[in-house]
Order: sequence, then structure tokens, then C-alpha cells
Amino acid sequence: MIIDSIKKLQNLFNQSAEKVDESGGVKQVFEKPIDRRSSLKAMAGGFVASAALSGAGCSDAKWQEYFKGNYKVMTDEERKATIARLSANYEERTGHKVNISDKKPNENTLFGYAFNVSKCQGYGDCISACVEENNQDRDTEMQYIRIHEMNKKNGINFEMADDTFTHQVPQEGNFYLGTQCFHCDNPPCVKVCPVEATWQETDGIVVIDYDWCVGCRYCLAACPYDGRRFNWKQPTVPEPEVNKEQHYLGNRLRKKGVMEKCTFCVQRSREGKNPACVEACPTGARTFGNILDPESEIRYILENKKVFRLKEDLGTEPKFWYYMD
Amino acid sequence: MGFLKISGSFLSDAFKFVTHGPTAYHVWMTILTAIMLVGTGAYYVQIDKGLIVTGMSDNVGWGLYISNFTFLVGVAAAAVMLVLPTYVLKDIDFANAVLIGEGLAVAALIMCMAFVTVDMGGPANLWHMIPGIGTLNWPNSMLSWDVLVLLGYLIINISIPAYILFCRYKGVEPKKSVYVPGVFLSVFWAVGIHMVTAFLYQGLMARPFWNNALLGPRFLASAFAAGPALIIVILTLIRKWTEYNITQKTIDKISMVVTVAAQINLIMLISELFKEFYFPTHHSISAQYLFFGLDGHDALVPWIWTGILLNVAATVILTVNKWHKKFLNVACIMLFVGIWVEKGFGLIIPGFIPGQWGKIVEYSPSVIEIMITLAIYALGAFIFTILAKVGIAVELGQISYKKK
Amino acid sequence: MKTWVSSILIIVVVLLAGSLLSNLIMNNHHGNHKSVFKTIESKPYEPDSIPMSSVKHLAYLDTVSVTAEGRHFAILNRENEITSFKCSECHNEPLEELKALKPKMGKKSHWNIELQHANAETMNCNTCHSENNMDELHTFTGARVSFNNSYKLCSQCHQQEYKDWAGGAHGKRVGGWAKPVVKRTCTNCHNPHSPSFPHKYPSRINTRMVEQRAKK
Repeated sequence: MIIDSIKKLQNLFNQSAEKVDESGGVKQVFEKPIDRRSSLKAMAGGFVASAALSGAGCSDAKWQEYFKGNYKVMTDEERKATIARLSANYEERTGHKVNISDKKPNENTLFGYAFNVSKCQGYGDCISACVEENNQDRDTEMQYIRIHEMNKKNGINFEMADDTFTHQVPQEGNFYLGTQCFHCDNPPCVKVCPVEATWQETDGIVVIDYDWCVGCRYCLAACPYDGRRFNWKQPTVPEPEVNKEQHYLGNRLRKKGVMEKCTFCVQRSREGKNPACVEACPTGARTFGNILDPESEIRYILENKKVFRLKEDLGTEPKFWYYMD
Repeated sequence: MGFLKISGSFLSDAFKFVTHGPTAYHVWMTILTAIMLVGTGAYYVQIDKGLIVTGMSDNVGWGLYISNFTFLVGVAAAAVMLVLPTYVLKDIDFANAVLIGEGLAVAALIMCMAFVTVDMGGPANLWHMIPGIGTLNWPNSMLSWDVLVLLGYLIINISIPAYILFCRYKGVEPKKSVYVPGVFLSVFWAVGIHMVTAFLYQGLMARPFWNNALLGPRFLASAFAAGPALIIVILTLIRKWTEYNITQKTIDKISMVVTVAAQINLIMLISELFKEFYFPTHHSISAQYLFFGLDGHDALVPWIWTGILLNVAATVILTVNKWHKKFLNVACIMLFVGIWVEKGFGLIIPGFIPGQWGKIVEYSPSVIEIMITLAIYALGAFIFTILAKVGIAVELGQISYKKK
Repeated sequence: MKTWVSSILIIVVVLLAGSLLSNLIMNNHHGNHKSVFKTIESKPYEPDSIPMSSVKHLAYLDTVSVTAEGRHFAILNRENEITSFKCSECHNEPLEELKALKPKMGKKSHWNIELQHANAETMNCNTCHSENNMDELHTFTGARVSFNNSYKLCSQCHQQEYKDWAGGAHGKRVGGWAKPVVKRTCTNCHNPHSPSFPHKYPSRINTRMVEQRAKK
């Protein structure tokens, strides 16, 4: 055990020594000293806007970032200010622009999700799309979605399911079922958070303020659906792969030591688009929409299909339904 | 101001006193400091690299740190149970033990807070919990309750002995009307911190292993066994090494508390085992993993059986009159270690195994994690040594304001 | 003295326990009765108040309006997607005559199309394609159906799928969840000649997870 642990540490040190350049470009943190040469390069490259943040201005921004409040109780100006700091910081370090939105929930909207167990073929395109859309850490292979391969003989039995399959799919005699954050209407993770760093928005999305989270992982223990992920290390995404269309509560770059999870792609869904997993699914097993709208597809499913939810006895009221043809 | 002058003199006397002592004392403190320095280095690595240097993962989200935190809350709570008979029942037998007990409580609480802090992903963000500046999720989050009750408990347990020692130092008899209400409060509070810490886990319906009504009471029973057991060992050592007068009667009475608590703890263990294994349901699967292993994963099986064996053996020794006195210290150490295994590894980690979708990822602490844990225990021992040394010196009149 | 000490204590304990209990009761009250469906019922839908629209995600799309199962929505224009439509540009003589030319022409036209849809007793080319009018399809009863509206042919057998598609339980939307509704039609996902989905390797796997679980 101890030898394993030491080996793991050695790997970690070697890894970080090699990856300095690559990872330095995408950390959305102020703690790390900015490499002078690269910031000069960025400025020489014509990104003069970043000059505003150089020198003393930079350390000011750092302290303002550290002492900013909980996003939930920020005023609109404070929100604008933190977003300006975050995007300026990214631009200074990488020379590329990010567009961080702070779009509020739409009125008369409550998002719901349906999953057709008969249709899913286990291709995993949803997982790929999710990782690329939401800037998850590539080193630890963080994934919000799990696809469970189940045997038809056993029915829906998670203990006997496999979510690490690597063979060709769909496999004879098996069916596939996906799980992710279910955005419960009565979310236990929100209730247990000691600092209100996670909450439910009026459109039903359970979000996290990454900069307010203290990283106690109480929510991870409280979630009955394996919906939450922790950044055990500084998450890194190669710069060209960073999704620049971001939301403050969604896929903006995270830092180490904070929780994250599926946000129904808040940066997409609040613009009227479907989450990346829904769009990527080639089989149409995934449906997303406004459950308040009686004409929506999701309502058709709720009213016409025999839907069920997982662990319904817990009273968490997930807004994620399963059905079969 | 007289108060400031006396406190200043007290602090400088105390400082002089704790920096002087026999060679064994210096060796002891040096070893503790060395362990703390190594741990600080390890913590620096953890801060720099992130919690990935620990053995924890998304599957087992809490490990050695939270296990020890949980266990030490028990130690802190139980230490104060000695207070009640002393002050309230006017049972002077315990009087000498009380300062030690409260010193232990303070040390245990500081260790608790250190364990919680090193477990945080963003310890620099802990100010987010301060009401007013931050957003403390009270009363919804049991963790916010825990922060409040632990802080309150720490304040109570620092102020009562501080007041008593201060009065003794000044050469005045401490006023009962000042400290007795505090002592009462601290006893109720002791039960409170334990119940709240138990509720932290008990309230999670996502983890059936924790979500049972017996968790809180069993916490209490095991704490009232482990805490006083530790105190017995410490008192025996103090009696051996210092002139501080601790009567055999004191130790006898504390050992009664330990015995009864250990017996109740065993009864509750049997009740728990019965419920899990008479008709095992899906919710018994974590207990299955803990006691017998699951699908070839059995990392905790040797630990828990060792823990139970120690518990049972210690309880038997304590219960049988013939052995009680003869093997008291051995039994106390066995009980303490047994409960440490049971409340540490045996309670927190199986709650996460198997994971929500039945997948088993085992946990074993990393070297960094072990180093930090040892350092925090060293910190506790360091603080306790200082508190006990000063406390005993004041009680014995070795340092006092009047002497000057 | 003892009286006031104990009364203070009792008050403190009662206050603490009371706030915890009231919190529990309050939450239980909500917890037991909260239901998404009650939320839905309690919020009558006012479509006009929603400014949300997926129009901007639909720009440049060539769509056709349809009505199916009483629902009005748009589907993607199929005819413009088919290579070398119109078919009559090649198929300017009846199929039998073209077939007679086969020995002279050598390789079969549409050689890559292999019908794997039901079985030969149920379906052949003529089930959908019209021999004399290659630019359109036809139903069982001979009614003409454009390539855009091919879903009408599919629905002849696949009634349940058709209903679910119109309603939203089968198939996929284009653009997003907001209105206006544009759907993929049957042939956007299924190859009509071989409608079942292929076998392939999963697009992404998590080796880290495999490693963690294999550890003993």
C-alpha cells in the first residue's frame, strides 16, 4: 500500500513537471504566478486589453476575486465585475477570449429530462460531448454521465451492471441506462451544503458557485445518485480544446478542491438549446425540455409513457425520468 | 489594570514553565515538533497538488481525516463527563481529574478542527462560513450546526479551566456562581456535540449504513467508553511522573463509567449486527462489506474484527471483578484502540462502499495522509502536554502570583 | 442558586433542541408533500411570457411544415438532401426497361443498397418506390407521398413510433428545446433500407475508473 502510494506521488510530480506549459494556459486561478514571458507574448500578440490587468492591477483583481461574495447574493454589478476579472485573467494568460455569461433563469421554465431505456445503445457519444462542452479535467477523466450496461435477464440491477465496458455496443442481451445529476426538486446536496455554495435555480437547475465552495464534500456524501464530482487536482484542458462559450454557474473553468457536476449545460439550455448530451445522442434516447409547457416533448412523455425515476422512495423528486417503448 | 497585569505575569510564568523541564520532557516535545514539521511538509504537498495525493476519490469521499475527526469529537465530549460529578454532586474525588479532562477536551477539539481543515478542498475559503460575511447554511446543514457547537464547546472548555487556574494563580478561591453554570452548560453541550456530529451522518438517506437511529446513541456510548479510558491511562501516567495527587478512588470511579459505557456499547453493537444480518436487505450491503467483504474486496475486514475483538476483550476484563483492577490500564488501551478502529475506519469508510450504483472502490490512506494525521495527533499531544503541565503546576502552587 | 442555574440550562437546551426540531418538522412538511407534479399544476403555463426561442439556432435550415397527430411542427427538407434528386433526371423510362438494359450496362445501379428492412414477404423496393414516378413515394393504397413526407410511409406499420415521434417520445429535435419545433424526420436517423442502428465501439471510456475499481 505504501509503495503504491509513493509511486503514485512520484508519477504526480513527474506529470506536473512535464505539463507545466500545457496546463498553465487553462487554469482559471489567480494563485499561480503568471509566467512573464507568456504574458509578454500575449501582449505582443496584440491583446492590449490585458494591459489593464498588469502590475498592481493584477494583485488587486486577485484580492477582489478572493473576497467576492456568494454568487447567489451578488448584485448585478458585482456579477459583471467578477466575470470581467475572470475573462480578463484568462485572456492575459492565454491570449484567447472567453465569453462568460451570467444569464438568469427564464420565466415559466422548469427543466426536465427523459431517458428512453429502450433506445440507448451504449455508444457513449453523450459522455464525449459532455466532457468537451463542459471543460472537465482530462487527466482524471472526469465524466458527469455514466452509462450502465445491464443484462436483460437481471433487469435494472445496478450491482450487476457494468459502466466501464469497452466492447462493441449494443451487445446482444444487454440494455443500456444512463445516469447523471438528476436535478432533484428536493435536492439533499443543497440542504447539506454548509455555505450555500450550491442551490436550485428557479428553472430547476441545481448549480454550484465554484468560487464559494469550500470543498468539504458533504454534498458528495449526501447525493444518492452519484451526481457530484470533486476536483482532486487542478483540472486542466488543453487550450485549443477549451469551450469558450461559458456560463458562470456552468462550464467555466474550475479550480482544484471544489465540487462540480452536470448543470443541464446551463450555458446552452438558457439559450434555448438542448444540453450537449441530448444533442449528441444519435439514437434520440434523450429528451430535454420545459415541463411547465403542456405542448413540450417532455410533457408528452410524462403523460403518455410509463415513466419511472430512480430511488423514488427517497423523496428527492428527481426531474429525470426513465421510460421504455 | 490588575487583570491585565496578572494575566501577563501568568502567561510569562507559564511560558517559562513549559520551556523548562527534565530531559525526557524536552525529548518528548522535540519528537512531537519533528512529527508536526514533517506533517506540515506533507500538508504543503497536499495544498500544492490537491487532495489527489490522498487515497480518497469520488467514490470514497471521506477517509482518514474525517474518521479521526469523528472519533476525536467523542473523546472531547467524554472528557467533560468527569466534570459533572465533581462540581455538581460535590464528589471531590474527581476534582483533580477535571482539569486534565478539560485539557484533553481542548486538545481533542483543536485536533478535530485541524482534521476538518486539512480535509477541505479550499481551506482558504473557510471564511465563507462566518455568519454575516459569509453564508452559513444554518439551520439546514448539520455541518453548520457542527461548526457552531464545536466552536462553542471549545470556548466553554477554554474559559472554565482558564478562570479556575487564573483564580488559583492569583491565590483566590474561584467563585462557584461563576463556573458552575458554565460546567452545567458544558455537560449538556458535550452530549450536544456528539449528537450533532452523529446527525451529520445519520441524516444522509443516501447512505443507508449511516441512516439509522442508533447511530447517535452508539456514538455517545462509545465516546463515554473511549474518552474516560484515555483519561485513566493519562491519570496513571501523571500520578507516576508528577506529585499531583490523584487518588485511587478517582481512577476507580472513572473506570466504573468506562465499564458501563463499554457494556452499553457492546449491547448496541449486537443490536446493530442483528438488524443488518438477521435478514440482510439491500441496505445491509455496506455492513456486509465491512464485516465479511464483498466480491473479494475485504480491506476493512481484518480491521473491524480486530476492533471488535479488542472491544469485547476489554469489556470482559472490565466487567470481571477479579481482572478489573489488575488489568485496568491494558483494558483501557485495548478499549481506546478498539473504538478508534470501530468509529474511525469502521464507521466512515463503509458508508461509501459500495458506491451509489453498487460499484466497489476501496480506500487506503496514502503516505501523505498518514503523515498529516500523525502530525495532527502530535499537535494534540503537544497542546495537551502544555495545558496539563501548566494546570498541574498551578494546582500544586508551583507557579503563582503571590510567590513573586 | 441551583434553581436559576437549572432554569437557564433548561432554556438553553430547549432553545437548541427546539430550533433543530422545528427545522426538521418544517422540512418534513415540505419533504413529504413536495412533488414536481404539484409544482407543474400550481404554475399555469403562460406561453407568451416566455421570450425563449430557438430561432437563432435554426438559421439557414431548410424546413417543411407538417401536421401530424394534430401537432404542427417543421421537419427538415429531405428532397434537397438527396444526392441527384430529382430521380427522374436519370429515371426517365419505366423500371422494367432499365432492368432490361442491365446486361449491357454491367454493374447494377444503386449497388450499395441492400434492403434489410422487415423481410422479402413484407417489403421490396416497390413497397415504397413507384415504378412509374421515381420522384415520389407511395403508400399501400397507392396515394402519392413526397420524399419530404416519407414519415407517412413509415407510420403505415410503425404506428406507435409515429405517435411518439409526433408527440416527442421518439426521435430528435433540431435546434433546441424551445419553440419553434423542428424535428428530424424518420430518415434523418434511420436508413430506410436498413433502419436498425449499427454496432460500434463506445466513443469514450474512462480508464481511470477502470483502474480504481480493479485495485484491490
